[in-house]
Amino acid sequence: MGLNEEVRKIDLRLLLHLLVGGLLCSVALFFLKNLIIIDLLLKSLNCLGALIFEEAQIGKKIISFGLIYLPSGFLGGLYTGYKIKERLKINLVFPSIIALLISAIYTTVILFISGYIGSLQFFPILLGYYFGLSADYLMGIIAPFLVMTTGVYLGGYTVSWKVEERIEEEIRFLKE
Amino acid sequence: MDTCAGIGVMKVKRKIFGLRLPIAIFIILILTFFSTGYLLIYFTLLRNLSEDGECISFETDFFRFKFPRNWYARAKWENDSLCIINMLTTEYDSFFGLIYYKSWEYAQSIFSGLDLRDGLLITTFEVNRFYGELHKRSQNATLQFLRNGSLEVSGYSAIYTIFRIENVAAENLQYNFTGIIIYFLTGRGAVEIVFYTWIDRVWEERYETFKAKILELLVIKHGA
Repeated sequence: MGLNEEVRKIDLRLLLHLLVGGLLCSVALFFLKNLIIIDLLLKSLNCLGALIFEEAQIGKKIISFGLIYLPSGFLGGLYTGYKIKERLKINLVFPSIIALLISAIYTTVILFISGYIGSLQFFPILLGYYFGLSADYLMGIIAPFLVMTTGVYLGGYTVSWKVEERIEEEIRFLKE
Repeated sequence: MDTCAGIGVMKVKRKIFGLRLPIAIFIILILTFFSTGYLLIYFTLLRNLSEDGECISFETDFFRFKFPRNWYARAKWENDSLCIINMLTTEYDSFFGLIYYKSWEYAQSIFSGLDLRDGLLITTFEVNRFYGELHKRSQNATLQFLRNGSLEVSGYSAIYTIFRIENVAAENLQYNFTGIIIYFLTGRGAVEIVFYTWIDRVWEERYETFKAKILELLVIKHGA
């Protein structure tokens, strides 16, 4: 009984931390997207007009992977890796999934508030507007998700890396 | 001794430039994504720059035109019936849009009940439609027609209407829109050009740039 309760407590704690990790990812995603950092960067490089071409749009998307999705995932991963130490390989998948779900829920709420709930054709547009995600599945959903997940893993393992170093140093100290 | 040496090697493997491996990978990935994306944009720009390096040349199956390289362009939108271009000026204070209707039949379906050959009717209809959209969000908005006339675009005779919409409220600020809508029929389809600004004092200057850099250099391809 006591053991079961302990397991349930751990699971709830795990779930909470994963949720907070996912929330951090989506908040970072929202803010980084709305900083329009890429547009400002391209403006200062004097090449905003090139975005009329498909290839340049792909280039912009690739830059957004590096400046928006990867750092968002990394931030969520840092928190998750700091709070959760066990089964990182599996647990670190969830913050990016949760972040995508939160993005979708936020967009639906915005549609509801603005009275557009009956016309879901605005959903992909708003999802793109707030989070840079779009109905183009490969470049609009799958690739951002994979990049964000990579960010989460890198963030998560950054925290636990220190532990491994310390263990190594301890082993070396013992050998000497 | 051997074991210690082995551990030493392992530790070197786990750090790059003195950084923990995940952070190093994170930074390398950011740089890689940024440089790949930027190079893609840069080479696309280089391929399409005009001779003077100030403008971008853009071409579709139906028309070609040039525009300043630092205008904020959106990707071309096209389907079987329409081709749409839209962009903002560098200062984000004016909008330029070009709609190419690929057939008269499709244009007729959009302007249902209107005579496509009556350009003034079409431009007035479009100004009213634009005003209607703004009026939905801002009840105090008022519309003024400033001038109608005709001009030549790429060898075609076009009709234009210059309008002004005042007192448009958005995010606790008041805007006055001044703009022009140009319309003409081509061999098979129709072209509609929209240019407007929401900052009063820049209208003359932006309109001159629009006329000189876009309108006068717009070419509708033969047979389009």
